[in-house]
Amino acid sequence: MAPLSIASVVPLVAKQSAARMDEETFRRFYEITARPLRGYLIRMLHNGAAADDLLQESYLRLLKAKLPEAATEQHLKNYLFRIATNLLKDHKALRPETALDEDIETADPAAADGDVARMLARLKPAQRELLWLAYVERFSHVEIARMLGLKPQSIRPLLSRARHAFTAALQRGGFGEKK
Amino acid sequence: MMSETCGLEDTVALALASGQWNGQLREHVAACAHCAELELVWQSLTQAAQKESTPLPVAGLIWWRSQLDERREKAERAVASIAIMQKLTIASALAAATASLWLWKPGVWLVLVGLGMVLATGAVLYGWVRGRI
Repeated sequence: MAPLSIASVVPLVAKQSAARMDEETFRRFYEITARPLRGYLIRMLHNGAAADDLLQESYLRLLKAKLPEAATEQHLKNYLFRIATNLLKDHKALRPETALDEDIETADPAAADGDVARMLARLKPAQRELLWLAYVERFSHVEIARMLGLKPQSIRPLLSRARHAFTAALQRGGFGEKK
Repeated sequence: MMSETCGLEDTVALALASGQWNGQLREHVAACAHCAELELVWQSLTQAAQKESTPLPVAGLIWWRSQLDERREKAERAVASIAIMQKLTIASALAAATASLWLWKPGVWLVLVGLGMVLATGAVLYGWVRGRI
């Protein structure tokens, strides 16, 4: 079987709106995007079950959405992350972060070992989102601005502040050395 | 204090993403606190992302749920159409009754009753239109 890449799904997806995406196309798109999306959600929520719920809801909304006929793979991925970011906002509004440490230790084994994920969890939610979208998902500043409802010009300074905060947390945790 | 920006930030980000570095850029990162910070953050986050290995929800289940939702919405739309038809029928019957009464025994009191029925019909229609909006 040919290796999967997001580009291999493009022609199929581009010809039809996501609302009419067939099952096979959906499965391939899911295979490519679900892991990164779950990574994003779990780092934002520190809760595996909640991340899975939001992941499923994100895809359900994508399948229901009326997207342009010529939607590219990047468009679909952006849209998926935008849906997920909005769902995260709703989720946080209903359940503000309180017992963060308990959540990390009980629900997300990957984050329970006092490593980088723990440092990341110490940041403000908006800073975590920014860092993850910019450096793990590598979305452009314009795309991030659209997802977070911010002005594109504000992303660079916000990202810079988030980076300082994360670096400080990492250095306190013994990662990296201050120049 | 570290500067807020570095002119080579985007070039360093590209090198981090592609893994393609040249000696000059390496030297710059070693000397620039801003770019060193970028490298540290990038590597730490990438490392955290790679740790993710929990099994994902099954794609087929999400697809099945979307199909189920679609069918449920279709059924809801069909039920809504039936409700609209019912309201229209009631409104038409009221209008017909008013007209019949009017034609059968015209008179002042009947006109008033008729007017009341017309208003009632209007209220039903208004409610229906508001409900639709």
